[in-house]
Amino acid sequence: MFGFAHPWVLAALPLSLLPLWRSAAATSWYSWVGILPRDSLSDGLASILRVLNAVAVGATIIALAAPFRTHAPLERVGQGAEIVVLLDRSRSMDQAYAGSPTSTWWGPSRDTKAKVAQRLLAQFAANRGHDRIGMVLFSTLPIRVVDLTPRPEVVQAAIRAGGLGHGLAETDAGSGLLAALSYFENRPYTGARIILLVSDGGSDIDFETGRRVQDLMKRERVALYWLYLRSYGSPGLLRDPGIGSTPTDSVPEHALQRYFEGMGTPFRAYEAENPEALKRAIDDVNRLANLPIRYIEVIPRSDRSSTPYVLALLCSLALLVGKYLESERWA
Amino acid sequence: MAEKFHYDINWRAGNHYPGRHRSWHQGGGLEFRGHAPLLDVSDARRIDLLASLKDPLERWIARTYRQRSAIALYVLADLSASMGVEGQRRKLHVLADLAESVAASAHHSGDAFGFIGADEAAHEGFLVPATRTAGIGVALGTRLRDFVPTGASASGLQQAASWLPLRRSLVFLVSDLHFPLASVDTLLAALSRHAVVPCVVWDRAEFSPRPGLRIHNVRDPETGETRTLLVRPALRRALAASFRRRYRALRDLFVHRGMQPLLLTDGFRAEVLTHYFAKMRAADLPQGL
Repeated sequence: MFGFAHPWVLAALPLSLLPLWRSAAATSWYSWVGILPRDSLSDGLASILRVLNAVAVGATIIALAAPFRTHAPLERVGQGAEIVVLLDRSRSMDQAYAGSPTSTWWGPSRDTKAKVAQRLLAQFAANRGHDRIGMVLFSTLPIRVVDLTPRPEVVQAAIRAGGLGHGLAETDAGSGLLAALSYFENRPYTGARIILLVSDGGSDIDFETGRRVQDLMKRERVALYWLYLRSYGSPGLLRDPGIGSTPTDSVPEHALQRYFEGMGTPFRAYEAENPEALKRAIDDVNRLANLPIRYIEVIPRSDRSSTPYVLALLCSLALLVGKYLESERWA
Repeated sequence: MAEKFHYDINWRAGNHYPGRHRSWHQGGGLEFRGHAPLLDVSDARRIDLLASLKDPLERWIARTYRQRSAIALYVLADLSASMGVEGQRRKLHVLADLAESVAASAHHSGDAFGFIGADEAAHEGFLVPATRTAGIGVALGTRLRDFVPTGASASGLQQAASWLPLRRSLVFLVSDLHFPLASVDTLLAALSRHAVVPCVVWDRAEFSPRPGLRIHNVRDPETGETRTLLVRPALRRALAASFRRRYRALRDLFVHRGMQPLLLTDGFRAEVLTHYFAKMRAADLPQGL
């Protein structure tokens, strides 16, 4: 569908017929046009110049009316998953990243966890070109950054935005999860759904929130991947966690891990100590993402005035050549 | 002072007014006409004794002679818009030069000069009835040079021809003849009573546009018709050929009516007319002389 930003300009369109009616070219008197030999080349040239003239005027008027293509929903079928990145922006993320449990503080990595998370996510998103990715930041309260979108540049921009500035406040993974899950609510199930939690883990989820998260995870059929960033002094994730958390669990990461394991929905945890962990995560997503995914992409309204402008320019250039050859005097 | 040319006629003038040209009229000339009884001639100086003796009725017979008479020279001019187009020179300037020269030459020979111009209708403002007034040509030429013609056709020439005297006159038809051949023929038929010198005034620029590859938009001053021309060597040749064809067609028309056209493409010089009349005289001579 096409439209015009200034449709009233089109009222001037009949002006483009003027060159067909009368030429604006400089004329010289000639005593008897009747005696001039008929010359098809000249006649053709005259018609071409007239048409060019008319097109130049018409195209300029159309361009001035600023044509645009209206925004249109476009259904697309792709391969991939719907992924909501849930990025921890709590103050603890500004602490230095510890790497693997065996590494020491004098090890090579001196970046903050937020920096590492940003780098890992950028890599992850770059490797997942066909997915629809949304993003939620969370600290004490969740911040919805970007809705599920198939556009990689938007996702990358969101990831960059997520890494700006300092951490905000406390960590409340429960409300963050609820916000991430709300992305999937009231949407047709068109492909694998994944929440990618990027966090250092120090958070408790109270019973009531936990129940709601669990219900929603089941209802919306969402898999949870946890990209874990270890802090100094943290023991890291459990190698073989038992089911269910115990109140006596003194390490919050372990509590969270046990809780996620016990939800009954697909869950995987990765310790982001090396590139292989990230690759494993990407591979897992790849496996899930083999389902075809149907989504509606809204193609935004786009300005189409350049085409008539270019057309008018080309016609004008041709007319300019004609003007250059034109002679105002016969002899 | 306008240049003068020499002209001659190969017919006998009908005027009584004495002048330079042979005429039908009996009078005080040197051309022997015949014998007549003295009572009719009543000029005793011309008594022919031998003829009187031979006369069976025994009358006195006198010789009669033909007088020489004056004629009228007319310029019948096309004043339509095409005559005002600027080429190497305006055709009206050529017309003015020619009219001045004809007037001066007529005055020099003791003949009368008249001028009739026409565009769509005969142009009364430029009408000069036959006169022997000196200097009339200069005044006329000045006005012609300043004239801006606007007439959409030369169809008034037909009407102007009827303003000419009934007596055979020497008529200089001055026009570019840029109108259909049929109209030219009708005009010539209307002029058949007179001795016509068709002066075809063309401008060299008409058939040789500016050199170089150019686009010309030309407009006809009479019809308003416009035409775009891509002037290039091929078109230049076609244009020249078109004018050549036109001239041949016109010449055939004139020759058919017993006239010799005079083509003026580079302005007017009086010697051209002198030469023209000399050639006409030579053509009168019988074969072998």
